[in-house]
Amino acid sequence: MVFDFSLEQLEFKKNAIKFAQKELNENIILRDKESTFSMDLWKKCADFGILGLPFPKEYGGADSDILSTLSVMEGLGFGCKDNGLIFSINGQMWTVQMPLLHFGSPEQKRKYLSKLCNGEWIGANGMTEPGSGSDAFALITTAKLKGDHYELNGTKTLITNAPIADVFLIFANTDKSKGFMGITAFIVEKGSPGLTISKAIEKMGLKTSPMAEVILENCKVPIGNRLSREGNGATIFNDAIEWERSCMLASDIGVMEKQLETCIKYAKERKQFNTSISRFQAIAHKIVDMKVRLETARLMLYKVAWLKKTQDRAGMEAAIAKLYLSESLVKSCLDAIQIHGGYGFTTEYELERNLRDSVASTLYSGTSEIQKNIIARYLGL
Amino acid sequence: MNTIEELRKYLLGEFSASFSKNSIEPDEDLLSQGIIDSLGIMKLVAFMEKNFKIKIGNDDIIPENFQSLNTLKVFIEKKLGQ
Repeated sequence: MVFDFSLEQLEFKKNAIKFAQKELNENIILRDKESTFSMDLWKKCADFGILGLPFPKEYGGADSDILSTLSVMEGLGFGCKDNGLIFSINGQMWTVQMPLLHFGSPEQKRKYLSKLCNGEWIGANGMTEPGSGSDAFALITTAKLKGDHYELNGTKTLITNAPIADVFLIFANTDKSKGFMGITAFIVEKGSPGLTISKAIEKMGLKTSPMAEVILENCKVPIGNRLSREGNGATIFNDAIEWERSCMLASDIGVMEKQLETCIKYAKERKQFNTSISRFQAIAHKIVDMKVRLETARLMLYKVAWLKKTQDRAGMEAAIAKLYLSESLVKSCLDAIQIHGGYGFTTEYELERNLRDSVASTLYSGTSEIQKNIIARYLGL
Repeated sequence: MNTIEELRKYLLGEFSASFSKNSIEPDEDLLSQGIIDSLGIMKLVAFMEKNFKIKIGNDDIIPENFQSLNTLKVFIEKKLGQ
């Protein structure tokens, strides 16, 4: 068992950190306050190659293996303070690009995947509805075949990237009598007749990642834009969500490492009662907890990545990783604020933003409770 | 143990906590009865791949293959023949 990265992988990660620190952090406090997404930064990430990392070269990708890809994402998280930007990037990569790669026809891949990998287009995944979040397959959006096109009717909510997306992956019922096996996925382009995007939804965190409702009223989608067969929607969703759970939080390992570094520096420099606060066990133990969480979370992330690389399926392990990484992230953000005392509570120190951003990680891709349910099922409980 | 018996044993063991059944008929509809749900199908796929040493593609996960023990048997035999 080798726990080392290659020199090439380490170099790539180092480059990602340098790129992020130099290019992606301008005006983040203001952009977070104003909930402003930056297309300029999105394009910079695309030009650097982030969006195409694990995708084939014929679509403008780098054909990078998943372990190398996550190492770069980790570096991105370390160097970039804009957690919302990284979240939007991850959302597109794992829940729009990956389904297209695995299930798209050659024409669909040619038409959409290249534009998504090079940053020309932005994608959004449309699964969640007002009445179906954790119970994802209880969705009620319908898709009826009418000659050469489908008509979609329904509402999707909490859709990441919706206000800025050029293309949506929408899940709808084509045959309700078949339950989860009657769900079908559709590629819906911005501007399709019957497609409306609501005004942006305001959030607690990840404010630079825009979110909105997607309303479909007799929305016309050509037959050629159905992704895979009718009834394959649940399989597409399950495949995407496993990639999402396995990979989405890689950048948060970088966030946790950066926070740890910040806390160690602060604790050594900050003096109270004539001593560096790092000498107080109460502070030192918190920093140790942050370190232990970071290392164990990192091990879990790369174990799942290795499983995805070697055997493709890793349902339980992906749920474990997602549960543990997200909960660890929130705890580390809380510890970072506590270590910094009153200053940690201020906007200037940028720790409170990390905490606000981190809470979403225990909710998206299935809440922590759902991850525990999944793990329990795999354990036969 | 034949294929149907192996599958039946797996399904009854895996899902006995979710529903009170102690037998499954070969033509019983596994999907409409909720014997296999959206998470269960992924676990079943993993079991079939490991137990029967076959590779199941995402395109194979269709109702026609997973409807009943009989259709699963036909599907597995087709995969073994490939």
